[in-house]
Amino acid sequence: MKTKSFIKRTKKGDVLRIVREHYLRNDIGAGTELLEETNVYRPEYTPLTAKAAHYLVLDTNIVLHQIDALEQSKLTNVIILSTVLDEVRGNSMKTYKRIRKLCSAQERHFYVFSNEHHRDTYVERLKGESVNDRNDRAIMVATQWYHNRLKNKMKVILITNDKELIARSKKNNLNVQTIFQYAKTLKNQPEFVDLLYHPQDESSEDEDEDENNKQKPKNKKTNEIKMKDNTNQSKKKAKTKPKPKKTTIYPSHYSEMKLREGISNNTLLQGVIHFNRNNFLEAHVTVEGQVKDILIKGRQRLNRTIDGDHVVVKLLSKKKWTTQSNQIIEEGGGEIETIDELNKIISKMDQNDKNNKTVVKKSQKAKGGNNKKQGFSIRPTGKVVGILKRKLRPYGGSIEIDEFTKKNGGRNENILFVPMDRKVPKIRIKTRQVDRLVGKRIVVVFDHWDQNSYYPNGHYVKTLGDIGDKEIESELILIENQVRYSPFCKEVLDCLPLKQEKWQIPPEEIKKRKDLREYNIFSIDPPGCKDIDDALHVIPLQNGNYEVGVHIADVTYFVKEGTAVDIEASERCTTVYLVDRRIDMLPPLLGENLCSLHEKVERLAFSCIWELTPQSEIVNTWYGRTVIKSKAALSYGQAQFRKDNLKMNDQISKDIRNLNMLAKNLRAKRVQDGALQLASPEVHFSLDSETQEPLDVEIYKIKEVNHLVEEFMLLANISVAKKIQATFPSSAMLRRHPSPRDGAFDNLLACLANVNCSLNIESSKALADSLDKCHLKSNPYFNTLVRILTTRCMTQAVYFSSGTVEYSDYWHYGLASPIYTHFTSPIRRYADVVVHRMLAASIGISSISKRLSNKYEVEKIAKVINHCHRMAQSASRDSISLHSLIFFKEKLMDEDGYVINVKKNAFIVLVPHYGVEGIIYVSGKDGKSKVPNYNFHFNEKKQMLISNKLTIKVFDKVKVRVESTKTVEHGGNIKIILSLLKPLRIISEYSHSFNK
Amino acid sequence: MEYVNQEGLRIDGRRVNELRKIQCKLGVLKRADGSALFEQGFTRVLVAVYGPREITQRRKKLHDKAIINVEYSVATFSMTRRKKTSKRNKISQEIANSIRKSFETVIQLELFPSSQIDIFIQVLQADGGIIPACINASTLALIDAGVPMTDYLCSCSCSFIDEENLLDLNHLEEDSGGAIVTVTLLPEYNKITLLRVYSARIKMKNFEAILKLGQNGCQRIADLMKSAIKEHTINQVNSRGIL
Repeated sequence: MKTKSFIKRTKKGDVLRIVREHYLRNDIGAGTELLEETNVYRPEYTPLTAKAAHYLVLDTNIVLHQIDALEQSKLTNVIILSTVLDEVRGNSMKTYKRIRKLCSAQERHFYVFSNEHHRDTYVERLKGESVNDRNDRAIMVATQWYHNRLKNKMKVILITNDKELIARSKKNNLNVQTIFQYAKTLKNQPEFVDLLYHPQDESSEDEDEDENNKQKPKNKKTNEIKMKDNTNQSKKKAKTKPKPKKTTIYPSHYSEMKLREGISNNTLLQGVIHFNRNNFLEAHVTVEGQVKDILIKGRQRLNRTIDGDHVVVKLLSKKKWTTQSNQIIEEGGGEIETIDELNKIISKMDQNDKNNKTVVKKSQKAKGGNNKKQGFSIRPTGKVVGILKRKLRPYGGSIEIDEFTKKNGGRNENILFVPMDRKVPKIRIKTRQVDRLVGKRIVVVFDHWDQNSYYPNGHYVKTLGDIGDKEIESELILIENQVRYSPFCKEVLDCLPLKQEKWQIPPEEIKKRKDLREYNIFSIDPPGCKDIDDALHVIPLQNGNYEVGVHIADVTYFVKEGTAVDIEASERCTTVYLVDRRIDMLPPLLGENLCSLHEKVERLAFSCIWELTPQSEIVNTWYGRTVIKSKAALSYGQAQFRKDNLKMNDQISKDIRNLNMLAKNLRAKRVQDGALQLASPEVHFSLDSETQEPLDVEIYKIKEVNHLVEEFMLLANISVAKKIQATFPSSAMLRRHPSPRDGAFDNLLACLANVNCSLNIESSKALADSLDKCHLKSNPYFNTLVRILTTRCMTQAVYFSSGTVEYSDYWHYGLASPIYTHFTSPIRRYADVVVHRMLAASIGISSISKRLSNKYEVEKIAKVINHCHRMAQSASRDSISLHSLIFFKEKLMDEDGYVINVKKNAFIVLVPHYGVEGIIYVSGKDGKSKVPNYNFHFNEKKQMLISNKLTIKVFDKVKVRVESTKTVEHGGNIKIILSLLKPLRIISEYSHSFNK
Repeated sequence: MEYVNQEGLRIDGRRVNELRKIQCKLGVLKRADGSALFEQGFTRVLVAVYGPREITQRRKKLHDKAIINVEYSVATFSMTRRKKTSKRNKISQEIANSIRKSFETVIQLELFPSSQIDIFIQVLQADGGIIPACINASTLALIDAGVPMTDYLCSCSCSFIDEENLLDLNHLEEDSGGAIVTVTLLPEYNKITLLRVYSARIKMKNFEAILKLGQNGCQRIADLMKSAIKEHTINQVNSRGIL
């Protein structure tokens, strides 16, 4: 039971010497069926089988880099050493979790051998030995131990790519192989090779023995570097292995030392990089504490970054600062093989830069340096000199097909993978199963990006299914937007009431609450709505005032803080609405049944009841938990009908009219304060009930009663926000909408000047007023169009913790409210659940948890919700795009569209009827005009494309043809193609695809 | 931080229900009436006992029994960070107090009216489980001094971390944020004299099991202490040439 001896292990922190005990044991088993072990402690693992061909021992680097391969393949009987596990955990917690999961998988027979605590396999670090070397030795000693114990019974193979370890193990007569050698022996698993991560060119692995010897010291070095610092790797490699054939394409990254030094003395800046959606060669870096983003242009300056990376940037001298380019560049078709071609592209990029610069210079002269009003300001420009942390995730997409790949299918092949995300570059992968991947949606992981490689290298992870299959595409949308769509797990479902659907409100709960079951409460929602989270009532009072109540589903009664269902909801954050499905935040039993305020059933609610004057002034407010019984669940249409049809004189119809009157007052007051009415081209698909194929598209129509419900929800949200802010001045979960950034409207104003309109952007009030005045007689859609474009200039509203921002910044720009939060939809938004808890605490019916009273914790929650919220919106948008694609499949329609943006080589058209947007190019990559007889010239000041016969400017009405076709170069993606019909007549060659 | 890995090993390689290596030495100080050095892993405590002797502070005198005076001090070099702690600070006094109270139940104080027994505790190295180590060391020193007691006093710490009941926490495990339960037991009567739960709360449903684990640990420590005392006695008898 007790240990035999113990030794010291030191660990140096800053200046501390930490001494820990380290017990060595003799009761750790080898975990195999071959040996009978009597004193093994915990038989919770699945033992290594006696039937296996051999046992594998893996090196740390193998686990770190080949985790995908290990997961996907069918390797069994693997021994994982605790040395390896510790190293993996030190390097990547994510990988650690994955390997742990593998180890507990029953059918895989992975066994964790605690060699660090075994008396015979513990290795003490020798003097002058590095930690890595010690660990390598520990791995070898453990392998040796297994080898000796299983001498005649089983072959034990050590898998490692470390040359030195291989050499040393061979000296000790151990079986040792590299992962590539091993993969070749696996005849029955051809896909295993594809799954491998390739740390360097495989060719070097296959080279002759003596060549190998020559390369040994170099390879060892690269290996070591990779362990420590991934970003450094390529640079060092370039030094040690200069290849005369290939010149380096990208400049080196700085060393870590230099980066740190630069950051500390402010010569270098660090921040997160965001790529431009329309131009993959342009990005900006947001630096914390700096108002202006840094612009980065060109492949060289971007220097192998991927969207979302944490990078270090060096500012260029002011002379080189440029404007944002006006071009739309999508990554071109085939891979660029030769340097000539590459140089051409690079020089062209430079030329573009120069062109821009000259334009700027000229205009600067003309305007005397007053370039701010002109629409495009020069922005700080920089280049990337180092990557601190990559933001990697699996990317979904398809492989690119060209003639070359088609012919050579079957052999080991380098092919290009085209990610769905336009901001991510193409990734080169190696595969032997090209023919199996063609026309499929696959998932790929980024490995590394060498200096001398045009594209990053990655490897294949899994196949989702066929391109164009609606299920697969929808799944891809969810993956790409990182939406959790797996069904609710058992722990979550266990938190729900035991009686399931038959659950009823316990009588003692009713006693605790205000009983509003006799009240005339009803709800108004979109037709077919299952998760009804709000209901209303109104009662005229004796004194001429009205009592109005908003009743919100009491989700927090079921979802107690810290339970599994709460944690799950906090991770999902929001219900995601796709066109054909809904990814719920709460299990359906709660969302659609127990919480949902259905008609004629008793439900728990959290209510907010005001006394309002007929002018809708608040006299007093009451908050509290209630029990209600909705009298009717109306749809917007039904409610509108009851309101308009004056013959209907039942109680509900009267109430609706009263509410409408009050809502109108509220709305008028809000508009007076400067609330904005914005627009976005929301579309609604009517789906075939059986095939779920979209049948028709229509723009969502807003009825008067929509505004009715909206007004009271806003009123409830604002009242609750005030209440929780008063109780928790530093930790209330609120929502704010910052004023638009300086210069956000520059572009739009320039365009509006062309049509003799203008907007006053000084305040939201001024903006709202001027928006109302924006009308063009020739174009009835103009006003909506301006509103759509105004919306796009705005910043996004965000959740925040009240203590982290000044009170004056609580302002909600769009609603013109000094304070705002979300309270009214707890079934589909997690923020509302948090607000419910805070409100309950602030009216003294429950206590607040430690977490929700700490402003940093609340801010953390808010950040997560903001992120999920953005992702959910993006997923919905993608889903709509997908359905428009399917809708337009094999259709050809001519529609009216409007120009909404003009770039140097293209313009963007919105087709309002279908909510479809697309790019139409006027000139090709080579700069030549794509339109015969029309030589378009871009006027930056006026935001127009001008040719001898025609000008194209924003707000122009055009006639376009909408169709969807298969594109060849993108692996058979279906794309919607817009082509211009009027005023230019049909020129379909230069049409281009609408992105998805 | 993973306090217990899936192989059932703790960070230092122990199982969940294993004690650290324990070593006891009696009679290490010649001037004191009784003394003991108690080591549990890297935790090391030295205790000197004086008395029963005449009371030094008159006003504390009790005419029907002796009083116990406990002084607890921690060496500046005992932890990773060098730190001076005074004997008078709140934590030291609280620990001293709880040790005094638990010994009042086992020492037969009424045999020595108007006198006092001094217990001086010096923590030389702290690596978790200080209070239990102090109690165990004091028991040994008291026995060495020949103070009549009704039973031993054995103590050990335990906790509930990562869904596992752990026995005998080291410093790292004490910092995990889980509750630290100190159980002090009369091994013969199997009665608990001191029970401290601090630094976090513990759920009632887990508590029973933890208590059982602690009691078990105390019994094992008692066995070790007994054999140490036996060995010490035999050595003394031998050195005096009685047998």
